[in-house]
Formats: sequence, structure tokens, C-alpha cells
Amino acid sequence: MREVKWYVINEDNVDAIMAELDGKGIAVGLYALTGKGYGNLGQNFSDIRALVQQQQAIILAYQNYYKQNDTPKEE
Amino acid sequence: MKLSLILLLIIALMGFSGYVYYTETQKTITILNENNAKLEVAIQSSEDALESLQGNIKAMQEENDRINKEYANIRKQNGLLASKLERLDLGAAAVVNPDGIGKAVNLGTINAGRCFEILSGSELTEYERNAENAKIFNKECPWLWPGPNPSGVSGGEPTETD
Repeated sequence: MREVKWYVINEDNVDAIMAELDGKGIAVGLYALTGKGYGNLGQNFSDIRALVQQQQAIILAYQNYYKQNDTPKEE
Repeated sequence: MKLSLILLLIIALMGFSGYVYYTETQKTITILNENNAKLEVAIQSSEDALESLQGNIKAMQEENDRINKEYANIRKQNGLLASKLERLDLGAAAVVNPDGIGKAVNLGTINAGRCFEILSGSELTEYERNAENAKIFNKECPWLWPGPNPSGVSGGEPTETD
């Protein structure tokens, strides 16, 4: 996965973080989320992960089913 | 003399009728036997097909039960984050401890991304292989921990401590 770095900013540290980014030569335009928005993003991520796991469970079930039914029966 | 001739004719006619009846009956018996043999083959085929279908249905039910169990686990796993978020006020936490929260969310993001990689078939890193428990393995998806001697990734039931 590509790197994602979060900056947690409040009234007290906003200037320090701006200065830090400025010092690194990064254009100081930030994309912000509230605590609630961040929580929702995390929850959405978790939902997608759950969906991937569900799909994997289905694929595994099909695989097991066909393996079981491909076994030749004794006459 | 005339009566004898008539009797002889009647006897001959009866004999002929008996012969015809016998041969026709034998033919019918042969046909019925052949039909019976065909029916026995058809019944055997039907029984084989029925047995095969019953086997398929049983296998399908087993897999369905397994999927339902797996889905229940996945729902539990997915609910863990929701209940964690309910207990936390991330906005307030960011006001009080921005550095700590910043470290936590960055680590959480890395771990969550790693969960996707593992689910997509990525090989475990040395750190993950040597993890002594599920929490050390990955805090965001500890249920993917394959155990102390990993031979593959499988989802398990989450615990309250996950």
C-alpha cells in the first residue's frame, strides 16, 4: 500500500505543523477531517475489508464444493 | 363317422389355438422381460443420479453452514472498530494529545493497509511470521494471525481483546 501520513492538528499545534511542513518544502494546503469524519473513514475501510473477507469465504466454499464433487466415486 | 370327423376337427382346432396362444404368450413374456431389464437399468440410473444429487446437496449445505459461520465472524470483526470508535471522541482526543493520536492513527493506517495486503495474498513479513501473539501480529486484524507456526492465513473468531 502507498504511504499515507496523517497530521493531527489542533489550535495549539497548528502553527508548529505549518512551519514544519513549510520547512520541508511541502506546499501547506491540508485536506482535513474532523474526528467524526476520520472515524467514518476508518469504518468505511473496515467495511471494505469485511467485504473482501466475505468474497474470500465464498471463493473458498466454491473451491471446497467442487473439490469434494470432483472426487471419483467408487463403483 | 361324420361325428368322429367333427370331433377330430374340434380337437385339431383346439390344439392349433393352444399352439398360437402359447407362442404369442412366449413372445409377450420375452418383450416384457426385455422391458423389465430396461426399466431396471433406468431405475438404477435414477438411483445413481439421486444419490449423486443428495451428495451434492449435502456438500452444498456444509459449505453454506461454513460460510454463515465465517460471515458471523466477519461481522463481529467489523463491529470491533465500530464499538472502539463509539467509546472514543477522536476530536477531543486530538485536542488533548495530538502527538499520541497522530502516532496511533498513522500506525493504524499502516496496519489497516497491511491487512488488505495479507488478505490479497501477500507473504507475511519476518516480523509477522515471528509474532508471538495476534496483537503483535497486527492490531487492526489480529484474527488473521495464523498462529505461532504459520502455514497460511485464515480468519478466526475475534475476541473482546482484539
